Amino acid sequence: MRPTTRWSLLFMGPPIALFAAIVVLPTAMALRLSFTDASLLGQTSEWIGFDNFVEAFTNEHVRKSIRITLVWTLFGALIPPALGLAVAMALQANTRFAAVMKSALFVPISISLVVVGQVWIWIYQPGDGLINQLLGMAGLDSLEEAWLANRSTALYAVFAAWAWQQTVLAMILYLAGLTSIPGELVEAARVDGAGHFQVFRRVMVPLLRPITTVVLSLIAINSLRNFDLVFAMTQGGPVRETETMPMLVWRILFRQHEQGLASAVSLILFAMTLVVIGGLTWWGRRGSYVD
Amino acid sequence: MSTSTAHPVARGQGAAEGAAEAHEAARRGRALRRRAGMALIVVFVALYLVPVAGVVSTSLKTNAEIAERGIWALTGKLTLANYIDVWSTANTVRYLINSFQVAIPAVAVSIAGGTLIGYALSKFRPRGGTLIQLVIVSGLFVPPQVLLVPLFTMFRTLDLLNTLWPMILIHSAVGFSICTLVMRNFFDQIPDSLRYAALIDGASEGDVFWRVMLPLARPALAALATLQFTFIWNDFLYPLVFTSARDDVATIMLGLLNVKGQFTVAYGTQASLAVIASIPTVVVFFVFQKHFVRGLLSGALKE
Amino acid sequence: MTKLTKFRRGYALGLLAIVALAAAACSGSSDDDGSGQVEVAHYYGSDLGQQGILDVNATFEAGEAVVSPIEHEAFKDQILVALAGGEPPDVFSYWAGARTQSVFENGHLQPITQVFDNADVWNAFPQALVDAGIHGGEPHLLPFGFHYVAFFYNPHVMEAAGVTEMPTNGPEFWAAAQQIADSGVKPIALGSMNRWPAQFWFDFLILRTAGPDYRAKLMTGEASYTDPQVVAAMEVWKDMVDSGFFVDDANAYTWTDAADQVANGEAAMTLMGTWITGYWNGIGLEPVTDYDFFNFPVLDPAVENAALGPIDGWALSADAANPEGAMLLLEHYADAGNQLTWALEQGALPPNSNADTTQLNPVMAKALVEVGNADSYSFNYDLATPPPVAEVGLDMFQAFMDDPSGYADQLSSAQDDAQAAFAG
Repeated sequence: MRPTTRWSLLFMGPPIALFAAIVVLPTAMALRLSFTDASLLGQTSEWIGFDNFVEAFTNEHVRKSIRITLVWTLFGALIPPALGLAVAMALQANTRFAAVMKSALFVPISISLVVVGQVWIWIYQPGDGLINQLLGMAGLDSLEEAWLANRSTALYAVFAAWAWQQTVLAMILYLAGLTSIPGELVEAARVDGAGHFQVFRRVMVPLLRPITTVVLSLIAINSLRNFDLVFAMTQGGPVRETETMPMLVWRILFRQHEQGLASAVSLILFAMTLVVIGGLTWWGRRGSYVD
Repeated sequence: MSTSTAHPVARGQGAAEGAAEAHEAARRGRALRRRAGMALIVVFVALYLVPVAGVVSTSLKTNAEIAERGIWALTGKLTLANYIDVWSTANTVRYLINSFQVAIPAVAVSIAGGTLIGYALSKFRPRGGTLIQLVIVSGLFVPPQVLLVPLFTMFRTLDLLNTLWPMILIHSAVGFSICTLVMRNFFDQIPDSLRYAALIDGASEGDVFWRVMLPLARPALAALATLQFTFIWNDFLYPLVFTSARDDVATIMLGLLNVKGQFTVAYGTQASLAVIASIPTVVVFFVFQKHFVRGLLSGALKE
Repeated sequence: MTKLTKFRRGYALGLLAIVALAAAACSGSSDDDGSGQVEVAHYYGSDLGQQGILDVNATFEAGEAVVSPIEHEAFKDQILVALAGGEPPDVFSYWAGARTQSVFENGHLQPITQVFDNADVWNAFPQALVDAGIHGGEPHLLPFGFHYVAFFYNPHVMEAAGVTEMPTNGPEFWAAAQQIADSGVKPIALGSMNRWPAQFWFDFLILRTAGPDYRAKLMTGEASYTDPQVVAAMEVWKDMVDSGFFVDDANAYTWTDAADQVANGEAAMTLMGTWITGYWNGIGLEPVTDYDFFNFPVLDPAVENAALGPIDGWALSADAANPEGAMLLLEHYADAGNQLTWALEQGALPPNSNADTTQLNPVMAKALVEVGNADSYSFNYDLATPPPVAEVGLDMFQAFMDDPSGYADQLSSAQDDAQAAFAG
């Protein structure tokens, strides 16, 4: 026994035991459940092999939900980081405002998605909602819309409310990343005759790569486990148009009462998360070796 | 675009004017960019101020006023009636107490556990450490929906449903993931020589950890506290499942839902509880904002 | 080794302190000892007569009712979570019909025969309402209020549009709706954001054309959503939407929004249950002068006159911590006077025949008469078909309101999903 083994056990034993009980064991139990036809209300269940997974991949509602979740994650990886970076760069150039702004913007990210959802419901209201009122004032009445009720706009409307919050998260992280880029490096590139775009591409982008990996990972996790906001705003409706996978699991569990299928779908979501995070980690590592 | 003109050999008026012009152009370019940046910032701030202001102003209007003119009307008398209403007739105080009773122990336990694991992994380098770290960190990627049914069964067996224990235990354990990640990276940056020096002076490993290392970790701990507190305070899913249909064990986030039932079309009342529910996290963020960013970064980036 | 012990002691103390902290934190919220307290959960928000529950509970002297009001839509999931968890409230409000049947079949209710005996529900309630509470041969649900679904309208709007006689059949209804539309007001308000308000349209169109017997088959899976009877009903519905009779964006509004639209004259009428009267009373409207109702018109004279609506009741959890106290509370809820208090506050009809119905306002009194005149009384869609199937149909109604022209596809995919749900 190495002398530190005892200390390792002492330090890590109790927390790891708790972690095993609350996270590892239940994950294994979920795996077992996903091979049964257990029901929420009933007491008995039978082993049905891969039926739930077959059902999940053939059922049109599950497939649609997987699509919604993937689209959400893709847009989430593009829009909030891009906007966040743009605003962070603008803020860096206008340092006078940066401090005040940063403080003000902590409000949107510290409030809960339940509250965010409530506000955006009011913004999207069909009659006297903010967006429709502004459109009306601008003489664009024809563009007024029941944003959350229309099947073709609902998903984007909920996404926008979510992106509203995630953009600030991206911005704050990028701001920290930008300040850590040595000014001399940018100056040196300028002296070498690089234009603004080239400085951005050749200097900033590679240097921001590690932080971009962090931003994308955080946003990807938040995209894939998005429940609170959908629950607060639409409960997956209208007609399941905003049914992200976490919302779908909720519905299968508590409205269709099928524990087994719900477990299978949640494990598919887990697998998707691992693939996305694995890909991002690989991308981040690759970058750091090249540079 | 501006470097070649200011050649040191160039003399005479023409060259000097050329340099001045180029300088002027560059200055104008910068000014333009700054103005565009300013415009972007102003639009951005408006985009964030308006919704926040919307909730606050709604919470200060009477429900009758809102019913008549809508939420976004700029007119109307301001009143604290909604706050008094929601404070006295709903279970608001109970909700807040419940939320603190979940958040405080869970924040403490998750950070304590994450620090212990992170320190052990970093300094004791136990066999299987990589695997342990992998398993614990991958907890970040487990969707809560995976855990829901098994934990539900477990807490039912333990007779802990409709208490605050499920939330405390879950947030403690789930929090180990991020806390371990951050603290391991933090302790990796502290040279081992510090530890050996203390050990040679006769301190135990426990003392080294407690007296030497932990005080150094204060900023990282503050960052984690901010992060964890916000996360736990704002959690909605676990209380929804583990304390359903009981108003007296509801946390404030669940309370927001319950109050929607109690004050169905009273938007002003709902908004006032939303403001009350948001105050603790906003305050924590204001106080710890610097630590927050650093904490998030140190968790994921090794310097 | 001593160093280790010393640290270990501090560490153990730390662990203990944390546990103690957590324990202290939780002490306030542990279960109470059940000394006469009865835990009650219900879905009656401020728009659905919440005050009435408080009033009725205030006179309960055999114990104390501790109430958790749950938001109406959230309740539907939350009560199932609570029942599955084995720590449900003692007593909870629930809808008679398929929802009660579902939790009964899974063993989450206990019989309340004692309540039916002690409060003489057997004789004091009409037979149909007694039957609505019986599952597996024993009473499991105490009817607390029942409702009647009809066209609730704003007489001022009708008058302005020149509609003096309320329509009694299809052509008259069509003509009246056209007349209202011509006057510049939307004839029909519908708030289907939470899906269920649209179900009454489906219910009545089937009931009035194919009849209650066919509908019963559809609800149990013996008939198909692609049958010509259903298609015909959907076509009528589509024609009405296409004629511009419905408000735009029905899916954007809740039922209270629709009620507001009728109240403030943006729309003339809405197909809703009698609870809308309680909501309107609450915002200061007067029965008869400000609101009234007429029956869903006859579409086929050969089809019997079926009434439609939900019955709200109280159920006793199988895992109730205080079943004795709960039984006493249920007896209190069965009392004629208390049922009247509730009926007046919520805009419900009291199941207990001994309730003094002369106190009902004229509109509610008329509803009571209409229920008596009807040949049969059916539960609305989401109480008539098993809950997982109801999810399918409710989605279909919302899809229909979004795009009425797609009804054929909507019906066939609903049939597929319904079949799967019946099988599951």
